[in-house]
Amino acid sequence: MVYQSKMVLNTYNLAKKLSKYLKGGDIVLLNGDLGAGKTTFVKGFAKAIGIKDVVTSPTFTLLKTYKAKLYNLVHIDAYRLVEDSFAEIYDYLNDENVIFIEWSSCLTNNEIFKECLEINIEYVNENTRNFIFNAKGERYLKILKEFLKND
Amino acid sequence: MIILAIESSCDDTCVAILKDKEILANIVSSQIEFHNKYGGVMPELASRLHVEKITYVLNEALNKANLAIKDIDYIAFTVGPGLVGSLHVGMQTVKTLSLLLDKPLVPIHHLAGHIYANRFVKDFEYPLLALVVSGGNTELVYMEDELKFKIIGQTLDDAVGEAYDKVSRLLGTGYPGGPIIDKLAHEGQITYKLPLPKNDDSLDFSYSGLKSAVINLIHNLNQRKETYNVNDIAASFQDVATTILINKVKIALKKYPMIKTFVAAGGVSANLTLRDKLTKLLSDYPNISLILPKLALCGDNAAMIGMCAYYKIITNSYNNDLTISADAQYDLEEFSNK
Repeated sequence: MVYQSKMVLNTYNLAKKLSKYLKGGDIVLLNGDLGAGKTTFVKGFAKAIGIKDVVTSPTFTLLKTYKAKLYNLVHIDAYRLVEDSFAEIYDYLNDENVIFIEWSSCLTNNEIFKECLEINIEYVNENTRNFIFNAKGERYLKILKEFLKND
Repeated sequence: MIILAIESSCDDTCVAILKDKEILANIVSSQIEFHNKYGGVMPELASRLHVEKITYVLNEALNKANLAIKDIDYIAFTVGPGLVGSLHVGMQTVKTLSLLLDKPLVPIHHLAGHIYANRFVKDFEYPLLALVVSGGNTELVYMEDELKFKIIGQTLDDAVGEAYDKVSRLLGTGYPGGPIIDKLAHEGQITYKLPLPKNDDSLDFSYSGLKSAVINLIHNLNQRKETYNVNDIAASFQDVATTILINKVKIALKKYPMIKTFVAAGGVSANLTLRDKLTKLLSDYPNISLILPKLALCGDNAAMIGMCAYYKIITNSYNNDLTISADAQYDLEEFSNK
């Protein structure tokens, strides 16, 4: 399924809408070129779940965590990684965390990608992006169905 | 006093030995060449490389300083922030040494170390304003007194060094982007008008929009089939990237009129255009002492950790604790002297 986002505000709204369906333990993969809006999406999600801290790019540190009411938001960026696994991820695979992984295509932790929500962001023009959602595993198929139904 | 310092927060394995504030040895074993070969960073491999190198680098530092391990009085190390696997290697090394030699540990914040690297150039007078710029940081830090840190401005998205790396990747000119773009920019002309992000009265920065503007510029030039010179894009980008920093420093100096010392810190403080612009700006403030770190001490090194430890020791404000844990997201304000 494809969503078009014409402004930052819409990306934020889309992230806010998704936040209603996720719970601790969920994994979301974000892929798309530089400047597509992956971090912007996570910023919108963080705002929606009440995180007051400034969500900044985790490109350099690879991983940043933020405390929210119901769970922690774990923001991972594999941009600088090459075909390597990232062992630290395993520390966060539990019900206390929702994990967003930017540039997951650079990671080889394949076993954790068997069940997850994938979002691919395509650059259309300066102000427009396509969001393509893809669910893997029963739980995420259910989330995506609900997400679609309430559109 | 003899201070041994270890820094392993990212991809350099660094050991230094200081006699008070004098460097006896400062060894940096960089992994950049290794990671370049693969075109990126490999965190698990980075920590394994730290394990392989640390004893070798430690021995080399002792040889260079002409000291034996038993001559050491204090053991300083970077406790955070950084990559957790890399930090652990340094931390386990210093804990072992501390137990073995019965000497105290002095945990240091990585960015405090970068700021204190300036003390190898000149002493600090407070209050002090620091511009901390690197691959992972873009911050304005206000220091009211010795080892008292307050973050008064920060990036809301990307760090300035990260923007350099990403623009360099877009232009296909390689990693690390900072020194490469700086060099290309000197051979180019400021040709393209790029927006000045966060051009307001706040002390916060934004580099994500500038990155997007460069992407759009290249995209549009390609679509119009216009030929362009990579050096000109580098020059146009660098002009805006450094102007943002200068503008924010200006605003901070206005908001904090009592500042006596201004320092730049972190990898991007080696950028020649930024150094020129800061020198020019501070020439308008005759009452403020400008300090720029030595080029060799702008990047990650252990000498800066040793220097910061020296002040933690003489103010008796360090916490010698063998149960301490590495903190990947260590807050600079938390590291402040109480």
